Amino acid sequence: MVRQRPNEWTLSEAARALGEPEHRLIYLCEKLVVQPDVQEAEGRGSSRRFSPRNLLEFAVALRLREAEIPTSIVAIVIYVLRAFETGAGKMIPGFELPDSLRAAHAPDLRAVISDGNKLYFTLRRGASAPKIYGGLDLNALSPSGTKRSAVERELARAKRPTRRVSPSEFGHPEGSNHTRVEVSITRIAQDVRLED
Amino acid sequence: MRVSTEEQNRVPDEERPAELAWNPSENAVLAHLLDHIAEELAREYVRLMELAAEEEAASRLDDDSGKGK
Repeated sequence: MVRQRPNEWTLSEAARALGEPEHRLIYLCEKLVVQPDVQEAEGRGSSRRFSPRNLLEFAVALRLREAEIPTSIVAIVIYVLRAFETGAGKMIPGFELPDSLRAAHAPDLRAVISDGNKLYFTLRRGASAPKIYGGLDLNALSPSGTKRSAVERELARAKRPTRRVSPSEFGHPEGSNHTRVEVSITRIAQDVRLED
Repeated sequence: MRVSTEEQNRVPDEERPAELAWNPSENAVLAHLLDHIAEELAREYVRLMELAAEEEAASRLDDDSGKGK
C-alpha cells in the first residue's frame, strides 16, 4: 500500500513499516516517549501523524522495551536523541534523523543501560575505541520527583571522564559489573524501513 | 506466521504494572543535564564525521596520484 503523503506516516502506516502492532506504538505515545512531529491526536476524527524521526524513535524505543526497560528510561534515551539531533544540526547544516545516521561512515551511536541503573551513550567510528558519555544514575532520576541536588550531582559527574575498561573484559567500555543492555541507534536507523 | 515462544511469553505493555506518562522536558534541571550530554555527543559525532571526510579525501588523493604514474 502506498502512503498518502511522503515523509508522513499514519499510525497504521508506521506500525506496518516497523512490523509492530499498533497498540505498542499507541502505548509509547500515551507514555510521552514518542511525541508525533506532524500531528498529535486530538479527540475524535483527528489522528496522529509521524515523521521519519518518529519512526526511528519508535524503533529504538521498541528495542529497549523488548529488553524490559521502563518507559521512563526509554523517554530519557529518546529525549537525548532529539537533543543530539538539534546539537548536530547546529554544526552540520541539514543534519536530520534518521537520514544522517544512514550516511556512509556515520559513527556508531549506542545507548547502554548498565547493571540496570546507569545510562551511558557511546560513540565510535569503525574499529576505534568508543568514547563514553553519561553514566547517569537512573535511580536518582525518577519521574516521580527528580531532586535538583541529584541532578546537579549527576551533571558534575557527567562532566568527569569515565574510567576505561579493557576491551576483553565484560562491561567494556562503560564498566558494567553484571548486566548490560546495549542498542545501536545507528544500526537501527540504517534498518528502519522508510520506503513503501 | 510463526510466533516465537519469546513473543508468546512477552507481557503486553498494557498488562504491565502502570508506568507514569513522563517526559524529561517536564523537569528543567534534568533537561539541562540531558542537553549537556547530547551536546557533547553531537560535538564528538561531528568530529568523527570530519575525520572520516579527511581520510576519504586523502585516500582519493592517493588513488589519483597512483593513476598519474
